[in-house]
Amino acid sequence: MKGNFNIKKIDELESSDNESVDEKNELTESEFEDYIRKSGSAGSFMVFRSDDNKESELGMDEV
Amino acid sequence: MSDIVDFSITENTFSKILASKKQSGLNDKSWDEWFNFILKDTKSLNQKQLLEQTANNFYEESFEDWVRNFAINLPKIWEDYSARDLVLDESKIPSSAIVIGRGPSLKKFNHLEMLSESNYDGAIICSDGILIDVLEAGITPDKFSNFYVVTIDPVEKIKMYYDHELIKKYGSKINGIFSTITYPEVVKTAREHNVKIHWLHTLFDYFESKKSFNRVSGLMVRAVNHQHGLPGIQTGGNVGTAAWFLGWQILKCKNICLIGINHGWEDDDPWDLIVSHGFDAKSQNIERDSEIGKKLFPRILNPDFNTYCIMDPIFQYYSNALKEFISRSPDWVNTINATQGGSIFGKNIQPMQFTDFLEKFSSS
Repeated sequence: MKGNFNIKKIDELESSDNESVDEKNELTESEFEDYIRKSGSAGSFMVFRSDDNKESELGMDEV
Repeated sequence: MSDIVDFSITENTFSKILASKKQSGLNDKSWDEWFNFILKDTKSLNQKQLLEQTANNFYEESFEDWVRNFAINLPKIWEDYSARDLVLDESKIPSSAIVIGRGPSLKKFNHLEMLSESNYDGAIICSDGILIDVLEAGITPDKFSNFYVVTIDPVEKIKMYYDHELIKKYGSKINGIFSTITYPEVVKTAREHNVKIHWLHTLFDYFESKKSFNRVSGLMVRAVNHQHGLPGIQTGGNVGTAAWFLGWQILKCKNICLIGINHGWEDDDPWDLIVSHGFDAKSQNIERDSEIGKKLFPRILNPDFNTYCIMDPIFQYYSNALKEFISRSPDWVNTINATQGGSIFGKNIQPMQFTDFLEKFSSS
């Protein structure tokens, strides 16, 4: 099966501005850490993760 | 670059792309919109993992408190019920449950009053922080017999949620579900008001090693009673998400309705409230219009209700997790978001006005 992308040209300046806004709005690890530390909320929440047993992330019948 | 880029794919691959576009809810949108959607999703996934990792790094600071809480609770855990004992016979399982958080939409849309005046006949699952308001609104176990409250936070301040005359009045008809690492005074207060105590483990380190706290505490619980241990629940970091899991994992309800689960703030909420995560956290000197203020507290659109909300970093963390787990829930689970706003939307989440939900799931 063959297809094609029809590329619409976007003003380069506009495109560049959008990217910079996105990157600027990305919350970084250090900013998040700083907020959590100053908020005094440290340690009161956690998400349980397991790379080897993803199903268990939804809960376990018997622990 | 040429205006047209040719590419070849197999029919099988194209079928998968079509299915994925349909599944993402963008079947009637342009290809450009869909590509942007999946590319943005990839980006937020990375950020999500980053936030989780950071938050989880803090748990070591609280680890000793959690062990202490568990040690003090253990003799009572041996005597009390398991959350598994709440599982009903199949014929008695309600067709739906309402999970009640304490988000600003509750007051904005008078959801508690609407529920109180309804003939809803499913289960009521309160997050602990809203229990007193729920009872004050007339949503009591006398009227709604399948009545539950959930506590997972291992901190002392939760005690105030159980220290009230209305808890004393209705406690004996309230099923309480508590994490084994709940602050002991919290459980003591609930017990004094005759709340029926049921225990479960909150999962956080089970697969780290055989010596993980989840495994060791599990073995200790089995040593005297609870031969099959206790259920282990994913909390998603907060009681609202834990209550959603309880609704289908433990109570086996097929339709789980969310109200007050905003995981975000309203535009007209005071900045002091937002910046302190509802006064739960210490207020920080962050200006709303500053660069860092806009980063930490983005304003986002909920396309399901066409409403905006303001996220704080903790809500970003909670919201990411809940949306992911809903998207991964089994086919038989139908999650209905009747919060009518907030940040919970996406795959497997059915938006609905709360009046419509009550009409559909109330007895005539």
